[in-house]
Amino acid sequence: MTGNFNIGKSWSKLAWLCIAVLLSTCSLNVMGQVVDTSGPDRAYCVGTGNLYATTPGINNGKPVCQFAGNAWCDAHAFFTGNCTGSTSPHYAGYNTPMSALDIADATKTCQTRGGQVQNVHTPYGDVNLCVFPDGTSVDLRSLSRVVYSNGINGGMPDNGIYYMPDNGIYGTPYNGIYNTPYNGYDPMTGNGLYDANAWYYGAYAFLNSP
Amino acid sequence: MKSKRILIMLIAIFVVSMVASAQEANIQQLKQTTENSAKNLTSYTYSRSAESMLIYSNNTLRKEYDVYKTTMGKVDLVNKKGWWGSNLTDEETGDVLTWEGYFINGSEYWKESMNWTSLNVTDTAQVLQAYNEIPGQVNLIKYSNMKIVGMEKMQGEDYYKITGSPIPSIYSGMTGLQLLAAYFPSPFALPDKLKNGTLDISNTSLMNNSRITLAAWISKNDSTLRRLDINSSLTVTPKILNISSPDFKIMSTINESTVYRNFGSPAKILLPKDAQNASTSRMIGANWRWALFGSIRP
Repeated sequence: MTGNFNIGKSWSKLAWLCIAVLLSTCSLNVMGQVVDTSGPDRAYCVGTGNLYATTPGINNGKPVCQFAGNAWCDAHAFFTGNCTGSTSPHYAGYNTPMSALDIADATKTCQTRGGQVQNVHTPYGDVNLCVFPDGTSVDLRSLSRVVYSNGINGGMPDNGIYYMPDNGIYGTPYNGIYNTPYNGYDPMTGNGLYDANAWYYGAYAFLNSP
Repeated sequence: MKSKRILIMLIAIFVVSMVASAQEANIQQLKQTTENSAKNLTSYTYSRSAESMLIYSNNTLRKEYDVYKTTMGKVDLVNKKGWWGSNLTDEETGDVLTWEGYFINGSEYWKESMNWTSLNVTDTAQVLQAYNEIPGQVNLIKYSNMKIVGMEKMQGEDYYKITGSPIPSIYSGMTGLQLLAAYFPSPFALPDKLKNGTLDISNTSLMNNSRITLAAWISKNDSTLRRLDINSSLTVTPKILNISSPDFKIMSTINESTVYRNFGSPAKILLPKDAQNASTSRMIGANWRWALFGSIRP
């Protein structure tokens, strides 16, 4: 084994709180690019019940504090009171898709179609399936009706806000916003293509989940 | 003479198809009885060992990260209690990270190193379900393409040994998680296509460059799941991911083995006194029992 992954015992108690986030500060040390000096930021973030995360793709690689619902703030801005979860200035699109709301909605859709939700344990946690009466199954998350304001063919929301159709049918205006089916798949009718990238949302949801 | 040969061939085909059909019937029956037994559990204990290896390489670097994790657990479904404790060891430094989880009297507590955290539990049934992991493991078997490969004797008891691989919806879920976990400590940046959701895994060769195998031992006596091994390997390159990037290679392997014991025996689960002093109460957090390899380090 090569490479130095040990970030020091004084940090060890806090370092592993990064578990459900996208990248730990440890990996930045691996790259030799960033020295973690954000102890108070991290302590305050974690101490207020949130998740502390650092990943190159968000906030220019600077630490963020991630809140329930997956909104986030720059960790230092949160510590200094210049940002709150509800006014997250940099709402990452890929952090939004799979919240508890999505899971609840997907479960409802599964049951509406006669399916049953089954938890399957894996070395990486649960994978939830919707198993239909004919024995076929899909990743539960592919059944979420939560769509994006501009979610055409995998597009991500430009404003970080997602919308759920009020009647479960895509293409109907909701709050004045015209929704588009995600990847053309309508989970209510089963028409269209099943989203083959459901694993991706499941994966990110797991990484970001409570 | 010729017709005799044809007759013999037909009989042989018939016998082979009958054997295959019987095998199929048996595995379906075994899955069913195992599922039933999982529904009727009262208490059990388990021990799990898992090792993970991540290798990163390109023209100029080679990094390897090896970790070993052990987990013990107790589940008492009658009294609605559960406990798990894990150690994660960095095999290079020898550093060990420990953490525990307790579910007692409708409350959940985590011990992170020496610090206790109490969690606000809103759905006790769901939490208990998370501690009671056998049904989920049995589901993994149920929704996998398995076959009986033989009988084995362990500690005087007979077990069916079954092996196989998960169905695509589970397979892709696991592979996706393994891929993301491999990127946690990676010196290579997460591809934009992965970040923005445009990576089309079905059109890449990622699935062809991964392998997940399962092996389970099921008691002949009472159909309980006694052991489950999951071995998973994955190789990632820009070509496999169908992305434009300077060349690199990530190899990830995980081998996990879980043994279940003490079915129906009293499970002693006591909350340590210092847990009562847990100062922090929070709604969210990570389930460290299922920590992604690579995402945390001692």
